Amino acid sequence: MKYNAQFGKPEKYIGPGDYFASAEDVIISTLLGSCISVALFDRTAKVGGLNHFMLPFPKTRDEEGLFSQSSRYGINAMELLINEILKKGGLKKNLHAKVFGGSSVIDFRKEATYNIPKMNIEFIFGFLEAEHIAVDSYSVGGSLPRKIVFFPLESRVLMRFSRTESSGLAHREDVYSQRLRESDAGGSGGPILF
Amino acid sequence: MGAAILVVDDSVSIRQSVRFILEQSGYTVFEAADGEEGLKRLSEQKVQLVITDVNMPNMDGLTMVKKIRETDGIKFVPILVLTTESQGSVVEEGKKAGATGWIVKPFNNEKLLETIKKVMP
Repeated sequence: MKYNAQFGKPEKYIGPGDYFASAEDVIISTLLGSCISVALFDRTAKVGGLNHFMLPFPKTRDEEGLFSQSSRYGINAMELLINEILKKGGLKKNLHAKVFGGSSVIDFRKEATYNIPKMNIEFIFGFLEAEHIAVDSYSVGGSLPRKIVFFPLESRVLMRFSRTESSGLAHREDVYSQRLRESDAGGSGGPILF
Repeated sequence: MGAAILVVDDSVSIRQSVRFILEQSGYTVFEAADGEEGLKRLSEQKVQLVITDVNMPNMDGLTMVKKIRETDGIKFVPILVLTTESQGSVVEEGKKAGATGWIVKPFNNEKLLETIKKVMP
């Protein structure tokens, strides 16, 4: 982890597809475009984490809603973060969330049938509602990237819109989106039979 | 009515999405939110397969698997573990506990259904 001189704490930067949770006095940060980041925390246990994900582009038109193969990728991204927080002492019933992202940064003109940022936003609110995780605050949509700085011990998030780095970000998210599509949203190794 | 499957997971979203796929394929689905509830369900309801998560509150999935293997009447039911855990040591623990198979999330519909057919009596 590099040291962030502005806040005087170690900083963990996470990219698309990553997640990180901590019960220590650190900063977890990311730069977001059309992806979603959820800051998830247990105030009582003083532990929290941040992820950065997007749903893969649906393969068929009828694949929508919480039951789609695309959504399953999002559910998985959330479960990985939740499990990491529980392992560090958090309780599922105490979890609260702050939600960010879903801006129209990537050029999705070639896939005009879907509104990817909207699909991501609908997914995350649907998921949090189904899991009874309260949303304390959110900032979603629009067209500007967001810089997120999360303090897991304090359950605090600093967010600002970013006008710089936008072309590099769009490229990184585009690469991530392609990778997801190719991995078939569920290729984490074949089933093992004992 | 199709064969009965018990799905044990603390995440409502995962239970619902697994239920959706299984019901589409004609299975009857029962749900439980943790290992304790899973064992209770199994004492009331005969099922042909158990699908369980690992990390859950109250009683985790692998403890439940061990208890199933010690309980007369249900000890031979096939159990598939469906989890985010892919680490070799945890998979090994699952094998020792008595699981029949291990699937890492996010799962693929076809692969899940294929595996179910392979292990169902």
